[in-house]
Amino acid sequence: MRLFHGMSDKHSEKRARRASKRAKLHSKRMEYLLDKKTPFAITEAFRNLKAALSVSVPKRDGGVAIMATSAYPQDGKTTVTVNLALMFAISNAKVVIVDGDIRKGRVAKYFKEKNTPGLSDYLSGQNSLDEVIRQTETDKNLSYIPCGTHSPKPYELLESEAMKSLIEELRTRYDYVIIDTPPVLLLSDALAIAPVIDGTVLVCRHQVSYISDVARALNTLSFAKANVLGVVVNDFKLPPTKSRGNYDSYYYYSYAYGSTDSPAEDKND
Amino acid sequence: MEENMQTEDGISLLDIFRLLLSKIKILLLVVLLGAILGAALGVWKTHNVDYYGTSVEFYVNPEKKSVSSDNTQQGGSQYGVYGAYGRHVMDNMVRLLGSEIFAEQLMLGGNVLPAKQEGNTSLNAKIDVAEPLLEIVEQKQAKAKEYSASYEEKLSTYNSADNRLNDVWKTLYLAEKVKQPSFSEAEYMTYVGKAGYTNLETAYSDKQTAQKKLESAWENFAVAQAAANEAQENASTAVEEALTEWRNMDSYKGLLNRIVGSTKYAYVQGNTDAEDANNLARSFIYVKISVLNDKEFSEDLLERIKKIVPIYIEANMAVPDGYQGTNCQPTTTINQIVLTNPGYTRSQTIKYALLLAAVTGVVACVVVILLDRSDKRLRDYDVITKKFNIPVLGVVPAIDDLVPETPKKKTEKDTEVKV
Repeated sequence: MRLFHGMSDKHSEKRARRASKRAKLHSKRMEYLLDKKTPFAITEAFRNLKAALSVSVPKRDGGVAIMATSAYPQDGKTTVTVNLALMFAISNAKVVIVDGDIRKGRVAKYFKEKNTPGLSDYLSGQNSLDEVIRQTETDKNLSYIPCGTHSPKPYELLESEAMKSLIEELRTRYDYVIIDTPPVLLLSDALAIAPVIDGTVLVCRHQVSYISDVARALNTLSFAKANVLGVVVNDFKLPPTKSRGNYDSYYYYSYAYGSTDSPAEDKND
Repeated sequence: MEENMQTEDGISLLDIFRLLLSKIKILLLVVLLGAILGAALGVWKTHNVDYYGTSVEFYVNPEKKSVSSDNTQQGGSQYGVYGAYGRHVMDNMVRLLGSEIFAEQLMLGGNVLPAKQEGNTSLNAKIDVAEPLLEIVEQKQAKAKEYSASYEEKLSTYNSADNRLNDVWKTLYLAEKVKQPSFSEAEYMTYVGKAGYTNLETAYSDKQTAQKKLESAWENFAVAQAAANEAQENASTAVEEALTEWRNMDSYKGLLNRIVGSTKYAYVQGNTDAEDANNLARSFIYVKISVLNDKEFSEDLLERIKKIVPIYIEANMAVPDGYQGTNCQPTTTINQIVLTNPGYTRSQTIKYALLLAAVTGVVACVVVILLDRSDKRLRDYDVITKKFNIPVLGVVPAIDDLVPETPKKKTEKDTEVKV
């Protein structure tokens, strides 16, 4: 039984701390929201991710609920979640981001707003759903629910019937419900949600995440009966011989071919 | 992207090249540091390394015994036939010169006793004992030599007297012959006369006197020689004790090693078939002196070598049959101690810098490769599909690696998302 092996493994904790420390150095630069200045390669990567997820998620009535998690912190799952949601929203799908990391949610920071009231407040019955759902200024199709007030029992909240009802309710309102959850090898919060959603995306960070950790995370998710759709490799470092040049040329090629103003403006096409 | 992928099982040269290229700045820095370290090491090790030295050449040849006494008188080496020594003889001599035995002779500088050492009272006391004994030996030997000369003189006188007696006796014998059978006594007496007898008696008497003097001289010489030998024995014991004390000193071993390490001996063999001195007959022994950071020592050593080597070679070189001895002389009279390694520090510094740069470069490359191979972090996303049979839905490039947009003035439009 290796379900919570990672949570009790001292070695893993050490490794997590180390990875966290290392990643913190770059965390500021990793937190970004796609905009006009975002390099084309990154925009294109999220576009490809959106396309891949679109075909990976099983078809069903109502909206699709997807969960993003990672093995350890600082792998960039919130960045991936937010930008993936934004990419869905840009393609005219109604999307809501749910910040399932009640302990350390960061989704609201991407939109420069506060975390409260949010998910925990709704689940504990202190606020209504409409009070916690926020429309972003970034895109009219994109809404989000922040993590809310810090709760001493986040797992219980996420495991509650209220959470299941919330997801069902959101499915009726939105085309995509994308939930950002805590690291699966450190906390069990993600496992509480995993069975009631359509698919799980595991985010790992290039040259930071250990393959063994990815394996343990996948084992943990599969044991929790999560439908793992696939892995997203974040912060991929281009080899020196391939960096810049190729992407730039693609960028300018696309820029010239698709639009006369800016590559970012092809949203309106 | 596929070019970036590598299997876990193998790594191609291209991958290694790319890996090293990706770390080129670190590698160059390490090489540079290695070069600096090497240069520093080179300077540190060689900044005070000055070798002083020179080469001295000696010719060595056996002197053949002269055929006639005239030749001997005129100098055997000049008229004798020259022939070079065999290779084994030269080998042995060079080996002997390079030994500690000869190094000790150089230390003694041709003396029997070592010089007194400051602070070593025991040695100095033994030298004080041995020195008067050696003086006595010298005196006794001088006396013996004096008696020997006297004996030689007396022997010569005796031989002359003996010859004269023989001559007189021969005359008498002839006279006896003449007398018989026809010569009468009167005729005999007439022929020899009283003077003949007188001469005989005088010659006989002279011989007796010379013999007595000779025997006396021989006795004197024998006594003197015995006294000299006894003094020699006494002195030898005292000298040996002093030498033993000297050899037990720490400075002795250090100086001995320094001399052995500072001198090198070699030879060039002459033509063994040559028949004269000007036709490649001479063999040469070369002494190379090289002393570290001590010009005075090297100059002193040079003087000692020029003085001792010929004596030692002439005394110790094996002389083949038909030869009377060995002639050894330095071929040059002026030898100057010079600095033999100008620019040594610079060349050594460059050598060390290059060597350490190369070593650190190679080590750094190996370390980079080993670290890369031992790194079990996610580097190749294809592994995920292969290992876990899970698709890679997307690969998001690192934003740092990509070219940032040309800085523009911020407008309100920038805040809107337009992707």
